[in-house]
Amino acid sequence: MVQGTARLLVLQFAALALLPVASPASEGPAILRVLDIVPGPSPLDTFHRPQGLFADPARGTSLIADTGNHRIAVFDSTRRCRGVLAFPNGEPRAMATDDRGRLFVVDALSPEIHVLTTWGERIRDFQPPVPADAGRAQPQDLVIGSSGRMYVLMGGDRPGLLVLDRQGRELRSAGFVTDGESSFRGPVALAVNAAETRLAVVDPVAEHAVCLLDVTLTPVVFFGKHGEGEGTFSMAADVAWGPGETLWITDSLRHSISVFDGGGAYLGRIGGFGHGPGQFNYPSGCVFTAPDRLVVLERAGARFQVLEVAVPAAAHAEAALGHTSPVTDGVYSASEQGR
Amino acid sequence: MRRKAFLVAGVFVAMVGLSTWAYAGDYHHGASLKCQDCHTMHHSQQHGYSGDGGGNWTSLSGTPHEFLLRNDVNDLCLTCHEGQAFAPDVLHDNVNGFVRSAGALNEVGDASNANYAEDNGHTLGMVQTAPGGAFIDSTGLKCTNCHAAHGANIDEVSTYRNLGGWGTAAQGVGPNAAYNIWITYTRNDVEGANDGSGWAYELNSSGVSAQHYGVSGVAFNEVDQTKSAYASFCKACHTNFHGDVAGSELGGVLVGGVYEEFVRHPTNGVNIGAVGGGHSDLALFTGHTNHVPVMSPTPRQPADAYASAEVTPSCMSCHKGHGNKNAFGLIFMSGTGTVTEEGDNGTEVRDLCAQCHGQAAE
Repeated sequence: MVQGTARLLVLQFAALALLPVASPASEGPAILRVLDIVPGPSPLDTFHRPQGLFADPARGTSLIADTGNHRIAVFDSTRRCRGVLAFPNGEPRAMATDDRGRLFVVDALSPEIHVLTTWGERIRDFQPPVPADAGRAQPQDLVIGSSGRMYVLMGGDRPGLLVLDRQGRELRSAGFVTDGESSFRGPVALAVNAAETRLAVVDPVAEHAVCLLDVTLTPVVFFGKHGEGEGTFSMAADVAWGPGETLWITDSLRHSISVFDGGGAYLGRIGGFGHGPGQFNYPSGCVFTAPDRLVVLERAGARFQVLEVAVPAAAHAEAALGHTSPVTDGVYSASEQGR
Repeated sequence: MRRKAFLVAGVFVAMVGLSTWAYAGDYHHGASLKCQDCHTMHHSQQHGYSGDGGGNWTSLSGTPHEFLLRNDVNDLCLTCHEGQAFAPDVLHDNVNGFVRSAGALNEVGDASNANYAEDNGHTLGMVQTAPGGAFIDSTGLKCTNCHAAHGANIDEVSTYRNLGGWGTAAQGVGPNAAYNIWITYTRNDVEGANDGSGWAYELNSSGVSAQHYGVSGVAFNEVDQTKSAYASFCKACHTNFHGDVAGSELGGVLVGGVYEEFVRHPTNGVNIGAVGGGHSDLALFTGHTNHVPVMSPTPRQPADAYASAEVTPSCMSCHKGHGNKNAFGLIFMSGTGTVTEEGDNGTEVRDLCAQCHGQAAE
């Protein structure tokens, strides 16, 4: 299924790559350098409305869900395309690999998650075990933690969140209740921190676009209203955990990525509309491949950029102290809820 | 246990944010969206709207767009309405699973999904004169040619799917008054059960994934048995395809109290089976398990059987408004099998005709 390789020759961007974009003097997040700009598997084979990306640290690869072209493109650490996985009748949206090298794919057109071998051969499909009364359920995003647990974000009639063991059996669930009773409305993205103690859910049409949950799937922080001030969103689309337990949240309509600490305090942003290095054209997602390496995918820009970024100083301090900032917006704690 | 905890959390959120939970089918109208989500005043925004000038900025480059939009209007609409779980997905396959009432659009020059060819429905960006009429958008067909992005914008009349809104005349007023009929609608969770007062009725206008845009959530009323608001809307571009019975567009001769001998298929004013004989057959239509949508003067729920003997076909009976994988966006519905956006087990035009016409069923 893997179809050949193609060397990335992005000559038109060669002069732009490695150019410094911002000074690291700022205490907020910043783009220090644009290391690469990749418009597709090859200059003549470009992305079309790409909407998902995944960094596989075990293999050093980055997987791009080239959604509009019904395929996944696999890039190595030098941004050379190692092949594409075709989904002729699907629209791949999210991906994750487990410690056995199996690739799990969320297909926006399927209620099932596809399981493939490292080489892209289909092993099986499975439908996440949602409650019988959940109605139509559609996977939106998934994460596989170092523990082997699989975290699956479900959309549909009654959105919810599942935690599954290695055999796909449910360990925990949250949500899957009627519309007016749920914290989830139309969730689209999920990220789990490295310690698997915090989950971040992006739900652009909810009262707050970001919900942080603890390991028991209890919501502990809400932030990011739909508004115009700092720390608000127009259309949150994706989330990635960064160094120091920072949260990097893609806003498609504002063509930017806003950065928050683990308690929901706003730290700054990067990006802005444009077609040049360090600018974004409807970004659809971002992921860290190293503590200072951020890959940003652009839906309308139809490319991904590899950025060297400065992480807010406050985040480093928090990481060193081992705690997070006080919560700021729409927040309540378990004790306040009487639990 | 977790579900219970989550439910408590959800109730809390619902209480503090109730206003934003009531979409009521008009998400673009009112408090749901912010002006700056779609518009920018000078195509030069460098910072946000907070008091200190802070806020996320969205600097813009390139040529400004009409109506102060942040982007080309179709691209702007598709940002939320293509491939997103939280809003109706209108381009190509539906990521939200349900069978869309309007089907799917395609786009000029987009060959990424061969199933949705340009001949299979409305094509964004197309520069062609509308069949049967004179309308042409020289800059390419846009979402806003049919939909009012701001929703209820004339006399606070709420229109089904935000259709219309490009005129300035209120209902029944103006040079084309006879056809200037807004597609009014009611919603079960807002106005209550279907009372037949609106041309369309939605079972439930709220809920995730916009499932109320599915065929299982919509019923079409016939407020005036001599008219069709749907046909009147389509007539704005496809002028000659619609009109009153016995008029120049449809033709029709009054024979024994009913009309026949049409020159174009009627879209209003004629009940299925009214003539009998070799014409349409009500028993044939109601005898199917799956039905194409038709207008009913008797208010009904989407899942109810057609109990009225006065049901009438209109544009949406044969065509998906956006299109589908069939030529002309036609609905090849034989009456059996799983309902899809293309029909059901039906595979060709005669399956559609056989919904009502015995000659096609033979």
